[in-house]
Amino acid sequence: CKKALDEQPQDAVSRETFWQTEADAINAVNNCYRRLGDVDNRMFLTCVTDDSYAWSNWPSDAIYVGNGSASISTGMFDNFWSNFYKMIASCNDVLENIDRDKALSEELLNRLKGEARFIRAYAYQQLIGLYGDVVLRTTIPPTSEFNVKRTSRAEVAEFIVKELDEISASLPVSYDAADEGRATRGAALALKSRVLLYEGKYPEAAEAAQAAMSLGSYIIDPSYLSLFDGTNKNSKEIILSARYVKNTLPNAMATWVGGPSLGGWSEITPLQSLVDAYECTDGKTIGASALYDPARPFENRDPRLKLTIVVPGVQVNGVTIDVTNLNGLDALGKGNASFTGYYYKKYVPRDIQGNWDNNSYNDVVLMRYAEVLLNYAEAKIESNQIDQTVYDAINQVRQRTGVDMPALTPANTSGQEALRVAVRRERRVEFPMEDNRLFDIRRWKIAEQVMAGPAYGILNNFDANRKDDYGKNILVEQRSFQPGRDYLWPVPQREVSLNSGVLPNNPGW
Amino acid sequence: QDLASLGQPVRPLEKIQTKSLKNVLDGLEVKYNVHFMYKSNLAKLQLSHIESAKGTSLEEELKSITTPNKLRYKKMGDGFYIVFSQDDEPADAAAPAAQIPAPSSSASSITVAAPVAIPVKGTVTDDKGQPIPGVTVLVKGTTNGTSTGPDGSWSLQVPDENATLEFSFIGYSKQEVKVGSRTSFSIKLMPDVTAMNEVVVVAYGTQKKVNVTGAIAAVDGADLNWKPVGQVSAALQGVASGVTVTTTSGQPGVDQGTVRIRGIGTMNSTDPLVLVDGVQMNMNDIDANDIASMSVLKDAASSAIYGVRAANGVILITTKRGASGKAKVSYSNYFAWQRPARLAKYVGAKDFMNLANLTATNSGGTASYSDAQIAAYDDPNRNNFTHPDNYWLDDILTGSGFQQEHSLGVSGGTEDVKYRFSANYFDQAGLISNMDFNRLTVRLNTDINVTKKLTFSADIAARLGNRQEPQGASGSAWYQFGQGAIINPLYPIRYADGTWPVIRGGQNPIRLQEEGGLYQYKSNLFTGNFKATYNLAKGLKLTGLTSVNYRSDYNSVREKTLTYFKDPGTNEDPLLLGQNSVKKLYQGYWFRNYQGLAEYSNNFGRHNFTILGGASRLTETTDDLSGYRVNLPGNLGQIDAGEQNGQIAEGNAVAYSLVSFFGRLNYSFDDKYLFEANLRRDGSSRFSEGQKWGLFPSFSAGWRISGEEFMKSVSVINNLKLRGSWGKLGNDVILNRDRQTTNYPYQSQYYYNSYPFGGVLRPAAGITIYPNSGLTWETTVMTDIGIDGTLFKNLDFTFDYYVKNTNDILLFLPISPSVGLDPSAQNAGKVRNKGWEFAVNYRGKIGELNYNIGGNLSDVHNTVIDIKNTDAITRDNNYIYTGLVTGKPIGSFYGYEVEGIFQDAAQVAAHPTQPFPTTGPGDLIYKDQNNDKEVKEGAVDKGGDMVYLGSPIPRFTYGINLGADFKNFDFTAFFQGVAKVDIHTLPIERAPTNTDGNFREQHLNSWTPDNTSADFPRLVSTLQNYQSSSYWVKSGAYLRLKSLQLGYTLPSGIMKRAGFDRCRLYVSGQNLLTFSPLANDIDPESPNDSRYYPQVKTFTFGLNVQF
Repeated sequence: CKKALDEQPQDAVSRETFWQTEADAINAVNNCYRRLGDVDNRMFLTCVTDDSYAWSNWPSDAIYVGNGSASISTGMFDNFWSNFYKMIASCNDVLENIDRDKALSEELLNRLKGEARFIRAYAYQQLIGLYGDVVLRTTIPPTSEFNVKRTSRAEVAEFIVKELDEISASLPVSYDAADEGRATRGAALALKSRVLLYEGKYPEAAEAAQAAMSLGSYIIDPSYLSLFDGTNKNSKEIILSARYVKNTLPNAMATWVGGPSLGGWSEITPLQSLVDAYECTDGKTIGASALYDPARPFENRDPRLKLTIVVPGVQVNGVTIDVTNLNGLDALGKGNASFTGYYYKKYVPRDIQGNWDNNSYNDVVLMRYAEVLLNYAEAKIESNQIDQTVYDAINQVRQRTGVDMPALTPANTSGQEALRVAVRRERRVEFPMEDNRLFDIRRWKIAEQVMAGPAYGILNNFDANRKDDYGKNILVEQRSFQPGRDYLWPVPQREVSLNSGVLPNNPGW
Repeated sequence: QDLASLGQPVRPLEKIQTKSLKNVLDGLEVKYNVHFMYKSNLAKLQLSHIESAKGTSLEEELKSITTPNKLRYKKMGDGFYIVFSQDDEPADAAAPAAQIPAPSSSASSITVAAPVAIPVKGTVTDDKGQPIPGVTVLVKGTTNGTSTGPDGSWSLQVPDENATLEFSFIGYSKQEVKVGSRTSFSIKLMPDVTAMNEVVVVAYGTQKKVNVTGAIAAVDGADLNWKPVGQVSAALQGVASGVTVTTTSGQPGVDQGTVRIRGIGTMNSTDPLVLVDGVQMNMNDIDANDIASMSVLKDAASSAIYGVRAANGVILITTKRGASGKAKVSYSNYFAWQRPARLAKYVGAKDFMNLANLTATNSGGTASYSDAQIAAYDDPNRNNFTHPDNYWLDDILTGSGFQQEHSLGVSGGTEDVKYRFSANYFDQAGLISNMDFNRLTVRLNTDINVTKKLTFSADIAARLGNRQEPQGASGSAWYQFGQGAIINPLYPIRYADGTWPVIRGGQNPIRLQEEGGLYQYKSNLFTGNFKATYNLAKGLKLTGLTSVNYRSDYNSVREKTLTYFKDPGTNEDPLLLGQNSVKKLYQGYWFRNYQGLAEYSNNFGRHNFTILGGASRLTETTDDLSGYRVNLPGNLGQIDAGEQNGQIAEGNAVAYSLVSFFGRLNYSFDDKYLFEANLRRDGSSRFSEGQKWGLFPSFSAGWRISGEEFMKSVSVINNLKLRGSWGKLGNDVILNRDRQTTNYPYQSQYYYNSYPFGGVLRPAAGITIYPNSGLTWETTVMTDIGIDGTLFKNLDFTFDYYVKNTNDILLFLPISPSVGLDPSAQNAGKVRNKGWEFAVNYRGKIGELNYNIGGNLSDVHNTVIDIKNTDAITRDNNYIYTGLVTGKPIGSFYGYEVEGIFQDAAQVAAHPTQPFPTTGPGDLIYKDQNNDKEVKEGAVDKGGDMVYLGSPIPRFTYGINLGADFKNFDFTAFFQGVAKVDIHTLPIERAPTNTDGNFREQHLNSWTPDNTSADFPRLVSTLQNYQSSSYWVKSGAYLRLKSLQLGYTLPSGIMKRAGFDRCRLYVSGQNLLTFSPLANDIDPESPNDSRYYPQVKTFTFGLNVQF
């Protein structure tokens, strides 16, 4: 009878017998990458900034976080928290067990450990940026350690930096084509520069960025849009991305970003605030430039405006999208049409195939060389070590082929304050829909200015039927931002109710 | 029908213990399908020379009995004999002249006197109009009589008009009719429901109803198969007390009911164990027409012998079997038309635009629709393509809803080989085109007497099911109804030029019905059930049972890419939607069960006992395989037609095994004091070493009070029994967090997945679950006290009270998300169900009107006793909070208590802070429960302000049966209802927050500064009013006329000439009337937000014939 009752899974291996082969270890490390993408949540991060608006509360309830009406049990807080801790647990499981695997060469063992530690460090960077002090777990905890206190943000940041320092040497600078997408030494250095910059450790941040730049393996890609539309997945600008594959590992990006005429739901749409941030082609802001014509507001602008945003008449994948065509599918008030009058072009897959629900396969870019350059520039500016390398770094980004904005020079932009303004604007117009903006408005402490009050969409000078806003910018929603509370997300309700160690929660929550 | 099918056990001559004349003749009656009559003083006559009572024909056997015992016999008619003492030759023994056989040598001494006066004749049928053969028809006070033929007909000569005819038959109430001036009689015999020898099916056998000590509800197959529903589980609704059946969908092929016996005892699987002819099966896999009887084992005593699988109750189904005699053929059919029972009603285009504008302006936004757009709808001659006003939820109902069933039964055989063959075809078209289901079921049950001691039965059945749906997304019916309920009336269905518009950014559901790909689900089941019984010695019987089932599910999901245009007229911007793809899924399921049983019974004086012992081994294997390819040319639908690039193959197999040993002891003294004990030991593969085996005992006792001497004088009480039971049951069905059965719940596994590097998917493996190797059974302990009785001969009642405690409930107690792994199940919960059940049945007769009234009422009160301090309320996608909270029922509703509607800004400001800063005049007022001046999300005991609002578990469920027949007409009505249940109408009654969605009529009367007395809060685009709150929790009590049927049996004379024994026509209806306090477009039985296939109302016309 003993044998009669012995049934084992036939698609899985038990923890005891798993760590035997090289493939076991590689497979377990591969698993650590699987949660990097998280498109249904991550893509909505932009909607909790002054860049974008989400009209639907599904799949992400970013709308409530964006307009200040979120509560501790709002799903977005839980989704990010859970996802990163699952990512961390998969890394911790590798690190706890991989030494049992005797089939690995020392080099491979070190590389695989390095990959897992890198992913874990990335998850903690995101966590402290979103939640401040967090639970620091470096093992799969025994049940006696389920309930633990939070570690301060600064200590976690130190942990991340230490980890990155320790693994940099064992991570390769690049991989064979078959391993494209794994964590590299450059990724470790780039992440280190980000963490140090976000913590205000400017000289160290500049040094880390400089180290990444010195690797010489990254460039600014001549095609901005291709980085995000699925056609240039292995660009030498991309340092870390979450990867997808046509048909077999797709995501729902087209649905969330695309408008009705592309079969999408326009869930993530740009706000006027972002449109206004783009300079004119003379390198001046719309308030200062003679080239800016309020009657033709989208002309003579930084080319990244029309690469990023669908202003009336822009073509996406050969389809002309024009909110001013009142009978078109994309017009205001049409089902699933944008509530702001704008659509995003960035991140619309070049090749949308199939239904709304899951047929995009463009990658989610998590870190790229432009950020390293701007990290470097900002860190140098903030530590007031302004030299030509600062201008060069910013200009490399501004003068990407196809963008070609006028160079910043000591002549037109000098002094710490002017450069600070310039680099901050550069970050904003370079990184829409990437996670940088949320972290930036928090560390620059500008969120209460940019996140409170009315959020506007396009100027309605085309639909006289809408008598409430005809001649005005569309009022999308009223937002509120409580500076005493909203600079950090709360530790989510589920964690609080099961792990009292995390209390007190962040101020105001 | 014949004698053998009426519950009279078939006893070969050898088994007769006392060789009385009665015993011997009883045996011959069965063996030869004949009937004997003799004077009662002869019954106990001890026969001699019985050893020689073996012959090759009835006449030979009769001769060998009568001659040595100084008896004689006489054949009075076909299959009817009189046996009498040699010296007591009946002077008036008379039979119609035509029936008097030519004197045979063996009866040569008999002479027939024939002073007869009046010839009379007629037929005898049962309450359903079926002819009964073999009924004894006797002139009262004489031995002058006959028996009915196979078609129920009889004829006789009576001496005069004052004679009284007596009709009697085993299992039926005796009936007397005065002859008077009539010469033709249509007699209807009513089943003798109070008969002491009524038998019910129990675990591993049958038992006399009067001896049953457990709580068992017996359901006759006829109570199930008259309803025009496709699934047995749906037919079970309301039929038995303590059994709650809820159906949430009317979709063809997926309209199974969810069956709960004595409530919900666990957060795990609460499906009862169903055994068909002793073998585990899904009850929906057999056809209702094949069911002979169904027994619902409700208490621990009657079900504990099924051990680990019995905690949710057990249902035993027996299928109809053949009886010896000439082949009998029955055929029945019906044709039915379905309509939605209730369909949500929405406002039209103009009201929609006004309400959408009101929502926007109330929220500080701008109106979405201009006055000109709205005014355009005042023009009756407007262009309907540019200004549509569609009721999409109704528009998508393009299907015929036509339903038909044909059922054929052939049975017969000889004494040694009996068979019953049946074939059933069920075909149901949906309310939506291409959303159909059809099913073919065949079954052959055979019984073979191999030798006198060895019997063998082989039952083979097959079911071929075929269901289809149009292409959709995340479930076709969900897409159709989900879209239909949400699409606002302003979307055109089709442009004037015939091209199709995109709907809500997605596919047009009506186009998918016409031009989309098909989803097809083929489910085939083959079952073989083989049983041999060997009578080893007197009272000792050995049985071996082998059962092999194979099910194959073959699903094909074909999707097509369809082109839509957004610019009708020019058609320059085509938009392609839908992945041109096919996915084929195959699942094989193998079930094997081997059982061995030994049963011994004996009696010593007034002590009767039976011992049963057995062992069982059961294995289940499920094997999945699927393939996927894209870009198939044209209408091709097979994998090979698609592109190899990007193809996906997936597959897995899981297995389960269960080894069991069990035993039962029945003891009774004097048929008055009854006792039963059961013991089962089960080993399940679902637990780790050392945790696999569980022991499940039960005990029950009964006292037949009516059997006591002192009760003999109480004539109104015909039968009264008090019974009590206690037992322990198990549940090893463990659901994972996706509510799927998991076969390896305790194991910590690296599961394979994939992630791409270099553009190619690579394998990935990881753990996701925090392991727990200490898992074991859920244990249910149930105590039951019951009383069964019969009053005034025709009134049966039964009452039970029980307490059912489930311990060690496997819970996924949440662990803190920062651990990063999902919890495994833990034996952590404790839930109590307390309840009672009452059923009553009355049969009566007024002149030629026979009627019966029956009803059942049950209550079950569910309480969570202990969940290890993990009380939690959680929010679902509809913003409804449900709780798993100690002291409350499982899944109770939680939310804010509403105190009214804010009338002005000052009131908002003065009230404790509401959870949403957007709250203003016109919004619901949420009560500050803990007086902290702030209303917050979360349960009160966790510092929030949400309180218990009600329970969705039905209480006081009831069913009422009414039946009557008058002459050739018969009538049946069945009502079903729930007296107490709460439903959360938030997803049903809330208003949309933007232009995506539909408004209901009640939204027209929403709060505005000019309409401050409105019931509905102001319409806003924010969610402050659409929170879980007492405003939305309403009574879901209802009473529904589930089924109604009116039948007419054609006069038998006419039918005879046409070659039929019987022909009946009927009309019936399903879900005809509903009484509920809810709005009349909400279905109280399946309250949902209209995004599901609704329940259907069915009108049926049908026919039953027999020949």
